Amino acid sequence: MNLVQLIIVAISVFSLLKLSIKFKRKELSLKEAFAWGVLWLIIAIVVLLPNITSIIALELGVGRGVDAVIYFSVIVIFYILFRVFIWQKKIERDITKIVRYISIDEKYHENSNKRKNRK
Amino acid sequence: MKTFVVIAAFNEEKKIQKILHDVRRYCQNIIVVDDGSEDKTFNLIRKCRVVSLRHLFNRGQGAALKTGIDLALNNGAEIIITFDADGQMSPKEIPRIVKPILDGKADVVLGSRFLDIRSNIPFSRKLILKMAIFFTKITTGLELTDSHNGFRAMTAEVAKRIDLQQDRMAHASEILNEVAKKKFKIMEIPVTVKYSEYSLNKGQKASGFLKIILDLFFDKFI
Repeated sequence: MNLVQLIIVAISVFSLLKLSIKFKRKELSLKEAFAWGVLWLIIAIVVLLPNITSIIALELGVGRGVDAVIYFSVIVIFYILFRVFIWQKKIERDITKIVRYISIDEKYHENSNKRKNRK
Repeated sequence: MKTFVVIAAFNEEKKIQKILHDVRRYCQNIIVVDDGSEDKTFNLIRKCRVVSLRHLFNRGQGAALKTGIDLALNNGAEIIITFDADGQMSPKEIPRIVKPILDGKADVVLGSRFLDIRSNIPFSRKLILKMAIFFTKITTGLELTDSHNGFRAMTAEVAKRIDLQQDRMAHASEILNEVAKKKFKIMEIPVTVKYSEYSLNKGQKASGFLKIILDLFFDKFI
């Protein structure tokens, strides 16, 4: 095993451990933990057994193993981007709810202060 | 019936006071939501005899209208009218847009600038609006002549039951989706939309139409 392989495998193992801790603390759902777990496992396997990518590439008709890895990575990156985008939209909606709540709450406070002053 | 006009305003210091003055001649209950304006809009609104609300920062027309609609419902509104703050619409037409609801003929009344020829619609804007009409037809099945007109009236029942989540311009499509899904009675009436350089600068661009489609698409995954 060369140094690069060692570093990447170490990162994968560390990430898998961190995932299991997060899952136990219920910071991640089963679905999320499973998806990330599979991803890090694939990374570790591909780094440890680089020839496996050539076998998969041949099966898929891609040609070289490295091409298969790149195609797979692009798909994963796009999917992650999509999820991040959805997550951002959800946060924006939550911000709107807070802004709306503050705005209506301010109005009620203003009205109740006016009533108090009149008394 | 207790009627409220809800107006969302964003950087409208040049027009807002005149519009509010004109609207008040036709409806006494006006809620104006300042959507985080950076100019004097909010101070000007507060000088008028209307209910003024302020978003801490800009959240979009859809979000501001929903804030106003929520407050109107809390204040016992029976009919809610939405109206634009850029001076394109004519407050004189408020009684006409409410009439079908008062007569029990509709739950939602939509203003249409294409039902007669009084509106001076520029060609580029007409093209975008026609695409929006086609998009509405294929997504909701509604045969409308104008799908993105901000001048509309609805009963409190409609306002309570439609689930508005779109903060920005896609809210107009979302209202139609919800109204179609919940099978409310819809009627279109002709209204005048007067375009000016000011309103065209503030209005939707062609890229806005694409953004609306994307917003509605991503909405399915949230």
